[in-house]
Amino acid sequence: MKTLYFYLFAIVTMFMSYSALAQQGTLVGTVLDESGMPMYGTNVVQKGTNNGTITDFDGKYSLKLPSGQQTVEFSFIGMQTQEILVDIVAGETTTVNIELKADAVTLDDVVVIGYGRRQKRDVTGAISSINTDDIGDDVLPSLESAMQGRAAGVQVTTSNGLAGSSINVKVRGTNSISAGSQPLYVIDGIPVTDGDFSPGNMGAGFNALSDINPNDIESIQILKDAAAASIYGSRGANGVVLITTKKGKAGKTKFNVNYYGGVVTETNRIDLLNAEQHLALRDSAAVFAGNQPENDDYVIYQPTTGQAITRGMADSIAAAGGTDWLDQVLQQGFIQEASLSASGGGEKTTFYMGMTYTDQEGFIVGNEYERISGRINVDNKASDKVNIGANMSINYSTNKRVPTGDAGGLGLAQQRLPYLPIYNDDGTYYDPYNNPLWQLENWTFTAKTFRSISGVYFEYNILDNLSFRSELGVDFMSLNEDEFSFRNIEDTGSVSSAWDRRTSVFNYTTNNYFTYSENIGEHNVIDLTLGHSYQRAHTKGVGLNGWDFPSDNLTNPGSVDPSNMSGYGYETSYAFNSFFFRANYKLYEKYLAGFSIRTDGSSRFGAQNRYGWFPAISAGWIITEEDFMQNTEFVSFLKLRASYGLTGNANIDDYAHLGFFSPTGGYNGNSAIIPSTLPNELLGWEKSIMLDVNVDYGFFNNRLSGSLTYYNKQSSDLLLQVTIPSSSGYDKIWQNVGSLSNYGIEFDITSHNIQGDFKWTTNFNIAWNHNEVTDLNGLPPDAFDNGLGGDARVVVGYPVGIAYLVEWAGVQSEDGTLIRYNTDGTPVLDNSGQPVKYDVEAGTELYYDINGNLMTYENPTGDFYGDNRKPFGRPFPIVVGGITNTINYKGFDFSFLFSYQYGNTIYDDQAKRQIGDWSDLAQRTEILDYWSPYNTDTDVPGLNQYDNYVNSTRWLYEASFLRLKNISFGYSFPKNICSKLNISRLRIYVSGTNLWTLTNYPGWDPEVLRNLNPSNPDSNVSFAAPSFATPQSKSIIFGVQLSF
Amino acid sequence: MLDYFYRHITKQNKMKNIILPLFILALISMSSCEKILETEHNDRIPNQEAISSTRDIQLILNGAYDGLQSGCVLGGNLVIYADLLADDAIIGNDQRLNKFGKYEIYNMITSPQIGEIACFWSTAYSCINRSNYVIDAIDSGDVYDAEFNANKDRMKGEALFIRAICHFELVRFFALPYDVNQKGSNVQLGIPYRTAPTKDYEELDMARNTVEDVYENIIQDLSEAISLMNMGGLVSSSQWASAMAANAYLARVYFQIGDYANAAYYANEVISSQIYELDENPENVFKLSGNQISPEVIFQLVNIETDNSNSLIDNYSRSKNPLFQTVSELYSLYDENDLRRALINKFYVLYYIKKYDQAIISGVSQPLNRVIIRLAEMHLIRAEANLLANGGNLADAYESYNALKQRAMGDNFVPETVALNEFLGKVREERRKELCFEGDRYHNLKRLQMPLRNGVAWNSNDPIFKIPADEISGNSLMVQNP
Repeated sequence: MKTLYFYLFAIVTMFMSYSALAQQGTLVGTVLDESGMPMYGTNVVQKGTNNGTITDFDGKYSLKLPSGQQTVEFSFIGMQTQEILVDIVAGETTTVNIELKADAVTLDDVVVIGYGRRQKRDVTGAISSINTDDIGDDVLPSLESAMQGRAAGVQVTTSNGLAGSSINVKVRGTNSISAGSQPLYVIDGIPVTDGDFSPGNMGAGFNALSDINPNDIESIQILKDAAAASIYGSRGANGVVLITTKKGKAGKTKFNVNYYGGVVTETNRIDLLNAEQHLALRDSAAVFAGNQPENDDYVIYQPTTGQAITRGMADSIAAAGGTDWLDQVLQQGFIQEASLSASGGGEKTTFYMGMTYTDQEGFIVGNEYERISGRINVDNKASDKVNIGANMSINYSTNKRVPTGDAGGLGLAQQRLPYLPIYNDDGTYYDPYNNPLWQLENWTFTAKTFRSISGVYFEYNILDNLSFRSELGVDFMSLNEDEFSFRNIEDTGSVSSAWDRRTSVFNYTTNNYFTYSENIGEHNVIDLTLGHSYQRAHTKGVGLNGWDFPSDNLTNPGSVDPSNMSGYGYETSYAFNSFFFRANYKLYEKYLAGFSIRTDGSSRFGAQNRYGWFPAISAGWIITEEDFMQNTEFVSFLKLRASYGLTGNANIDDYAHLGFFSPTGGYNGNSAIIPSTLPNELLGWEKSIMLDVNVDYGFFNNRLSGSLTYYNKQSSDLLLQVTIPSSSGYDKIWQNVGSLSNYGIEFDITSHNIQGDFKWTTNFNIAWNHNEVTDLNGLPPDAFDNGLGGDARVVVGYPVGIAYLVEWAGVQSEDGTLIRYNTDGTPVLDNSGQPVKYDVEAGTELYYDINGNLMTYENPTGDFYGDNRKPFGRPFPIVVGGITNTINYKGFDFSFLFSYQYGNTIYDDQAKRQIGDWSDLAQRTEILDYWSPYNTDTDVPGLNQYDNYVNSTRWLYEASFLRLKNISFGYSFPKNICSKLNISRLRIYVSGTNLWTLTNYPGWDPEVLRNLNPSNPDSNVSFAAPSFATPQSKSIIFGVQLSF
Repeated sequence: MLDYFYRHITKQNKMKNIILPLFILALISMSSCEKILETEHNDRIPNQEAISSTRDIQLILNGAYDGLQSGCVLGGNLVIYADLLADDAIIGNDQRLNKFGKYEIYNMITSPQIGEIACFWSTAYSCINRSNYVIDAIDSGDVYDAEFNANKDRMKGEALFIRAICHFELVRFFALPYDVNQKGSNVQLGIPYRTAPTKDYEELDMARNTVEDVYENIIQDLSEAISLMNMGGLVSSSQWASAMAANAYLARVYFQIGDYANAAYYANEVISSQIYELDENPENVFKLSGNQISPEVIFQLVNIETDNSNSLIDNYSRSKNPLFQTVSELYSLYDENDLRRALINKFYVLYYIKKYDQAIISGVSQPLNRVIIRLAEMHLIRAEANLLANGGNLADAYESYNALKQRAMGDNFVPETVALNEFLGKVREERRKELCFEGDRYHNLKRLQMPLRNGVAWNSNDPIFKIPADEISGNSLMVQNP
């Protein structure tokens, strides 16, 4: 009986399926993307069933469907899913071609987190994400330009406009006083070398990150809070910048060819007096002093070598126009870049390949930067269980650096008197040692860098939801600097000198971790990561200096007599060994929780403090998933999240904890070793405990979206040099005793103002940070005097690097008298009990003493500097941020990015010489407002009452600015023309950087840093006090982008 | 959690359940290996590895000499400071009176922030620390290689010598002078006398020893140094310390504190050893360069082209537009045939000091050695000490006086008979003529309790250097000078 039923059943089903079969039609078609390229791997599914297929390489699909009206769904990650209603006729083939559009909603993006990826909506940490899509078609000359103004709470400053110059990136404020405050940079999982390895001194820093080709970057994630960054443990306190390079996509190989060329100049030039004005100033000064103006024979300039300049000679030079030194040293430079990339692959193997050549002639005469980079990223599905891949990159750059700042070049040109000639009568340079043009011609410095950042990985899917990944990455940098300074032919004692310096950094990392993901029941999702990481880096530097060459044709330092040689050598290394664990939990798609912990050990920490633990917890609530939110129409996404955890800063010297002896020159040819530092085996990382509370919102179907964050970061155990009695033979020891706090608010909003044919999107971000030093273990402000001028100090209750100055009180407008005061505010009394007074000439500089009473430099209250300095100004801005606008209409695109900073002050260290020291230096035009009987109400002292080089608030300027960082206008040719040419896209564009700036800062550029290596602790303190600064660069380029 | 994990895996695939524990085992064993975080040091030596052989100890001792050679210590600054505070020299070029330096020292208004003074303090104490390392290494018995026994006495003697003379120079500038009339009860604050090397940053605070204590320690160290260096075979030397140098210094120390019997004794030790004799031409003593020697020099610090540190040249030599000049009163003290008068360079109406002019060979200036102590001073000490001590040897005193006169007058020497009541005055005048601009006058005026420059009292607080700021803030037991 059973068998009968079985057969009956079989026949009926067969019949049914036969009829079903008989009642099937076929749906075929091609799926393309917006640019007309076929989409391989698109899901084509009969809605509500398991009946589906995927498109092939040419985007073609074929699906059998039952006859009648059917709904078919086309979907692909990152694209908007499309549904079509189609009538299927039995036995017939219907064709439907689909064009998929990119998903406008970005909240479903996948972001890279440390050791893994996660859906953005499921992330419980604070991560700012910058994708190539966000940047759109903006041209990126460097890595930092991708980050500036695009991520709330991340302040990026380049020190000047020269290629390869150092950058300073602060994530949520400065986090350290004496240790490095830069974030950790990780490329494809490998922490890379950054900082300034240039041993030479050209007055400006060098940046190891400049070797990274921005064209290869797919996305940048900046981990800002403890939940996101504590997976990097003792290196996460300053934030982590995760850079992911482009990967291939399966499908036909897509090519991209880009070229741009343009000009670059300086953003601003300060106004200096010309020769005539300056000489007239000298005359005025003489007259006001009651003297005769200088006669023709008076020597007004004595060079180091050569003939002196008399007043008569200067007058004739001025009559002929004088010398505009800035004009001689600055030029319009030409920049160009050509790049080619290809990406593609098949089912099993995908690849991305790119090559870029950059050639930049800087805006300073003699400066040139050339770089060629190549990259290949390959991913292969070796089997069902095994994925392997490799990312290889090679860069080679040549940077012809020029002296700037305190070293000369532009720094010297802005000091040189305008009535001095450039050349002697015989055509040789006048006064070579002080002549910036002679310097630029005879002092060459070429830095050649070879850099390779490469890695391989192996992934094994042990089970469906458990995989193991092992990565090995290497960052190798070899820097070779050739410096040559030619002798001064006028000075018979001078000799040529050559340096050959080589520095190499070999940095390798291996990460090995398990990832496990489990759905427990219907509603619980749990993701676990457990892993180990090991990193080791080794730096070695050596240099050879040779001088006094037998012939001018020899320039190699090895070709001199051995007694004219000297050199140096050093080596340093560090290692990190870590274990980490992370758990993420999601309930009902709306409740999120996260926990991570890492233990880090490093060779940099003392033996008694080698390993540390860095835990963090976080939670999130996607409010819009709740039932009570289902009816609110305008709120499309609302998520609340918070995190709390501990991260560390390990940017301390490699051997800070070590007590050691060093070799010295010795005595009478007998070498010696001397005790050099004391050991501190308790020395460890600096700690940051951070609380982060954030709301992510989306309104009107995510047409308006963004986030609002409050964070509070308390940093403690900061490294400070504590004084020990110098009678012990040592005088300082590093200890973890300081603390400071940062707290602030970040806000960003993205608005798709207009959608449709005419698209307009705006993104606005703003961040406010409050930075305050809370404990210095009793160290006075002057303990942080690094001798670099600018008078920046560290004072409890104020931000790091606050200017510590005497307060400027203006200029005495008429002859008068002032009372002399004591430091307690009482007047100094004479024998008869009357206050002591002193005469003050009109035009004299006035200052406020510690109690607000007037004094002069000659008649100070107590000690002028010792008793009267106070903290002033703001080294960090009150708010920082950017605004981006992107407009698309038919083939045209237009976008511009403004970045702004408001509320910070810069101490213009050299303004005090360029407005006042008229007998030695070129002067800024501000000096023309000097006090005189005809101009008594002024802030510029009399020409003969100038107090040399007094550090006061007179030189502390407001440096807020609004800058048009980027503007571009492009046109993409329409599809029909493109397909005729067999290409998928052709765009031409014109783009400009730093074209317009709004600022009250009177110096070169409000975006400036002191010329210091950002890994140098002094750069945390003195960064806002530049010296003979070099401005940023402004450029206009034309370019072509071609894809096929 | 791990349990659940485990069960889950074993459910799925029995083979795979060994992977996870194996991996964890591998990681744990890898991490417990300390070598994983070891780093190499090939340009510096960790403290615990620094001293493992006799040669290592010698290297540290060389480091102590290197410190002594520094301008801040015996390389010349102390001579300059002595002349700023006393009456042999006047300021010839006040541009060289740098603010936050010699300006304040000259005007006797020093503050804890003066860089040069802090350099003196910290470099001298660095030398003391290096010497203490040497002494500690020798006493600890950790080193026992083949060369140890042959060298240990010599090295320890040299280290004790350096330790003593550094403290001696420090106490003479940073503390009130030793009152020779209060022998045994000079309780004014001196300086901390450090006798142990600093190995650790904790517990470094040390109070100031009294001046009496400091001198007691100095004398003890020098006495031990003499016997050790004699045992070690380092009796005299042209570049290093020596037993004779220790004898000479001990004479100087006893003389400073008014213990004239001992001063005469030790000066006599040096003179009667017959190792030294007065150079015929006093100028020769001040032209020594590199390894050149003069029979008169007992202890000098050698300067060579690649390691040259002499801060006196720029401040005394006429060709350098120097800080100092001198006055006609000093010049006229010399008899016109006195060979030493040539050491003062009379230039029209100005008087420059020629003691520190560099020798020039083929147009190249030669490095100039620093002569620290010479036989002439021993004769002066022997002469004056024998006159002042009870039961002093007058014959020795006359012998020394005449020896100096004979060298000074050369061929024009006429033996003098000096009346006893005038003799002390004559010896003191000889001292001034012989040792001018060598850093002696200032300390000598203090010993004799005579006023310093501008009538400042010998025991005034004004010329005493303030203790540097670093020491005050780092050492809770330190007391500043008033």
